[in-house]
Amino acid sequence: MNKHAGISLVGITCREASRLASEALDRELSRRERWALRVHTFLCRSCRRFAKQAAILHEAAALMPAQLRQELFAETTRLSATRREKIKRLLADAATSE
Amino acid sequence: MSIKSASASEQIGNPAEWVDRYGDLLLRFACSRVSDAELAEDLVQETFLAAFRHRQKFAGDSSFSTWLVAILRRKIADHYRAAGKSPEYLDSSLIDQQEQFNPKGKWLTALAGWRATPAQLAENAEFWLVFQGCFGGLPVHLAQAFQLREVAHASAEDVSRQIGITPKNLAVRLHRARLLLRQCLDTKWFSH
Repeated sequence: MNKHAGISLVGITCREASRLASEALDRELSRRERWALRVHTFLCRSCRRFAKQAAILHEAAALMPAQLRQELFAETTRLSATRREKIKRLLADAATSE
Repeated sequence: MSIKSASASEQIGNPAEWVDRYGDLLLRFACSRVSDAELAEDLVQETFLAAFRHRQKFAGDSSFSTWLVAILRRKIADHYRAAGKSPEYLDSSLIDQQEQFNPKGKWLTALAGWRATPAQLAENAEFWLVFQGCFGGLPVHLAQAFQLREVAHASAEDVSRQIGITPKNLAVRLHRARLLLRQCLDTKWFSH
């Protein structure tokens, strides 16, 4: 842990506790991490709530009906139609001017 | 003009088809390395134009898509250099627009409780519309990480491999994404 980030509750700050709470949703924490998070959240209500709420979002996303998932989140990383056309036009221009 | 293997010109194909073929791939790569969607599209556009100008240099010793990604990589590096920043800037700490912690690492505002179960939220279409609004406001590299991990359900390991960042950077991005989404939903949904 960063020794210079002011130690608040038992070794770790809220920033660090929230990071551990987030990471706990993605991997198994080490025993030391688990302990630090448990002690911190025992004493800190905001971090307890953060951990709970991040988990709620994590589980809700997993339970989202398939249709909604498709409608709302299917194509987040796609080139927009306007940009697609623009690049095609630019490439065509470049080809004719060669 | 250089002598090229038949496979190289075959791979280059018709430039008119590049965008549909490689556009999304390049955009996904760009989005994992910059925070702004518009900028990501600009970089992809520049990549295609540069690839067109230099297409004679593609020798076919790597795949054409790898060659395009290499050009994009350089465009991204140029962008950061011009802005006087390093690419690590994206994942370095304390760059959040809305910092939620004070310099000592404590919450600036205490968190309020939520009264909802995951199952209730999951079934509520209205909630997801609000969620989508919050999600759309995230920097693209954070939205991408969250999307792949939480919506598409890939393991953290797969996500970091897929977008080519370290597990540690991914953890930083997911933490930020969750902080921002939680805050946004708290205002737009839970306190209503």
